[in-house]
Amino acid sequence: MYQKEFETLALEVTFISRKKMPDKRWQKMGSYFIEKYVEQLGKAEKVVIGHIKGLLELENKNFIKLSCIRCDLPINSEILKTSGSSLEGHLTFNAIINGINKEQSIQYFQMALERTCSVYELMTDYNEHAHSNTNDPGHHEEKCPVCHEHHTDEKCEHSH
Amino acid sequence: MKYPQLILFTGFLGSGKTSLLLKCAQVLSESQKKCGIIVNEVGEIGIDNLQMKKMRFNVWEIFGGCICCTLAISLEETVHQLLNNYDLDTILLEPSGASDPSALYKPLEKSGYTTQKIKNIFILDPLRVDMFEAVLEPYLESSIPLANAVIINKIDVASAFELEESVRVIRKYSKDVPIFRINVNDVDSGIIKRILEG
Repeated sequence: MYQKEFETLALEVTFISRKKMPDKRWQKMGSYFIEKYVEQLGKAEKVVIGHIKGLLELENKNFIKLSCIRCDLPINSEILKTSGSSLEGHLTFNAIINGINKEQSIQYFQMALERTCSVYELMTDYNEHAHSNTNDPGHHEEKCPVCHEHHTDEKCEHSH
Repeated sequence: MKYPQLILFTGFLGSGKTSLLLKCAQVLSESQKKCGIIVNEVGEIGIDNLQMKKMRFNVWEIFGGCICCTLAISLEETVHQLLNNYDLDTILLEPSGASDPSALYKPLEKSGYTTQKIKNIFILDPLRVDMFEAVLEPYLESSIPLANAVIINKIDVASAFELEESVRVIRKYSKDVPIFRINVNDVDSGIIKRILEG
């Protein structure tokens, strides 16, 4: 019901370090990345964060969960194992925001990515062009399988 | 047919539904209860299900679904699949925080779960209670009366005023629903048991 009011961005990216980096530093990097994304959001007017989530998968089955729900609160991060180091970190990113469009959200993601890679000396497999098509109608343009209409303003009463 | 207990974790995005669900799953599995977890997330890539799988829980995912279209039929099918193929004690269901919980009752009823058979735990984030009231009042109005228990989460970081406001908002929509105040990241299993049993 409220999904139409929130723009969803779901992306995956792998960060690659030149040499193994302690997993604690990967945790700082993950928080920094979300922080930079949120910083951009803070510059836009009337933005409401639904949820910004990230899962950073490291070597030896270690992972870091990242989340943010408000621009003025610190990024929440939880790491499974504090020991260990990794060469690569695979980030699954999911942002659900009200008040911006997908194009802006991707732009903020890219800016955060660029800044993070520069500060932490990382490379990524991110392909800017692969995500530049914002004409994707999204699932709300999909028709109801029963009546073949769009239910964007109210619940569908059809028995599917 | 045996109908395992069905627990619904409702609440807006970022309120702590996944964390509470994971705590409940841990407590239930420690009591030798078999649980099935159903998760619905907005977006094409699920994060919660990834985390749950990494914690070695079996998770059934419902993706990309708008509550009015895709989710209803997928949810019904998923519940049927669990009922027919597994001998479960509990089903833990976490819909997307952007969906309207009231829309879940119809597909669940078609799966054999009447309102009385569903335990709905609503999780409220006190840090954003002012935003909820300003922007999402219809959501609160629709969700809180359906809840069998309301959890005020994040009490470790919320101010006394935010906690008072949370109680006021809950009581505006439900006079008698039990309220639990917790920090889901630091809650003992006794409280989780009370939430599950209450």
